[in-house]
Amino acid sequence: MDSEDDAYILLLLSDGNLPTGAFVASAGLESFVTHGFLTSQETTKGKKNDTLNYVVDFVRDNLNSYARTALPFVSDAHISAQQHIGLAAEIDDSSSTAALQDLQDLDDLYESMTLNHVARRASKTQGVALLSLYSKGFTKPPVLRTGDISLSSPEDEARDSRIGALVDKIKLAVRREETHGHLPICWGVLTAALGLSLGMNTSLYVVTAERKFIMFVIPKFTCVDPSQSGVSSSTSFCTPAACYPQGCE
Amino acid sequence: MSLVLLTQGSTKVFKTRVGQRRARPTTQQEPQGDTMQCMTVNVESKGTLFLLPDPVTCFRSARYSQIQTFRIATDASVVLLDWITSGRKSLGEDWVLSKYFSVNELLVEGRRVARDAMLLEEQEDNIKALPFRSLGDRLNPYSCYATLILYGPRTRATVDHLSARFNAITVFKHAARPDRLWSLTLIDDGKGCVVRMAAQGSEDVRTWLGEELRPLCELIGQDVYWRTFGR
Repeated sequence: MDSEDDAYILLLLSDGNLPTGAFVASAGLESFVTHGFLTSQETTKGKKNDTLNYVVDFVRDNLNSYARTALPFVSDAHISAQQHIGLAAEIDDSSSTAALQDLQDLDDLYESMTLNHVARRASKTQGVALLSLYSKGFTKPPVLRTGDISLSSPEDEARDSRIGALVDKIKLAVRREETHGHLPICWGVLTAALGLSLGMNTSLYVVTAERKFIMFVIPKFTCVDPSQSGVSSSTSFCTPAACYPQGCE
Repeated sequence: MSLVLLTQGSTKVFKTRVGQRRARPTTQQEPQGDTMQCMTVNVESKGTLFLLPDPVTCFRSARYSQIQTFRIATDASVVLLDWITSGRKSLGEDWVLSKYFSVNELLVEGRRVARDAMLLEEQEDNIKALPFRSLGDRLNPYSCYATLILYGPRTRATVDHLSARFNAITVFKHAARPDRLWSLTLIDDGKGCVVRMAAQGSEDVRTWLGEELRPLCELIGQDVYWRTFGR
């Protein structure tokens, strides 16, 4: 994959309409606002009583903590999925089972480390939505898969079907409640499936989390004027159902 | 069979001093000098562990790591309290420690049910465009953070009581930051729970625990209960 492809996929994935957007969860900002944390405290002397400052502080602290927890899982899931996808041999059931087991172990560990029910729920919702996004938005339409029109090499075909099979297996495992489908793990699988490099992937993950605040969560609360957060007032809000790229249905 | 583990006062962690310097340069890396405390506890069938220490207090420039692992049988129970304060108030210390790292892991029959990791560390790579944000800035206005993990059949009444209390909370919009905040999450299909609390001081937390953990009183006895949480 060349850098132009990389850049294109990066732009697609940083779209605020993806299910990683703020429509699903505010990552605690809503509670932060409700509990009066946008008001000054005697202990924070010398600070301007500016709500935007407190929001910026929140985003910094939130990313700081979230990146520490989530990024290792993103990397490990990415590596694990990449290894499976990159196998030269034809689809081997045992390797797929091993990859799935590996991802399930990561998912279990993430579940046991995410000790807040709200954060857990938000992470699962977004993770599963990402897998659906891959199946619906990034796979080849059936008409191109039937073989009459051969646009890609047999190696690419084999790679695509391995990815597709892995994503389907994870989705099935989530439906059967055998695994949780947490966001960092699903993100790692998705980016590996799209052929992004690991470094690119992890920095994008942080950018996505951050952008979510700036573009969507913050204007949602009247506490900050959207013009202050650098978003034009034309930013429209859509429902979670509309959080997929157009035309993927 | 029950075991209650208490401490005789808060766990004090002193500042890290630079070790002896060698005249000749060595290839060996200087040890970081973290103060470490590791504890692994196995609780057999029907056993109960109450780990109710006083909070950890890290003095200025202290580096502290604490790794606690609890392996328990399916029908064993545990009550685990882990809390930290911001330092010696009388000396004006307020989150001026260098590092605090705490991991609490709970495994039931080898299955990991909870792994709570908390790292408090002064950040070095601050973003240049933004003003410096110290550890104190991040943790204030609270000077005591507590984590309480309850698990197993003998904690049933306490978990139910706490859940009821938590569900009764209605959050209206606060005008100012509350003095005390707490949250509860059930783990492993309600067989246990994790409670987190932030408060202005450790005494606020102790008072709250003393009021809300009453169902534990009959398990550990009035004397021990009073000694731990005050009357």
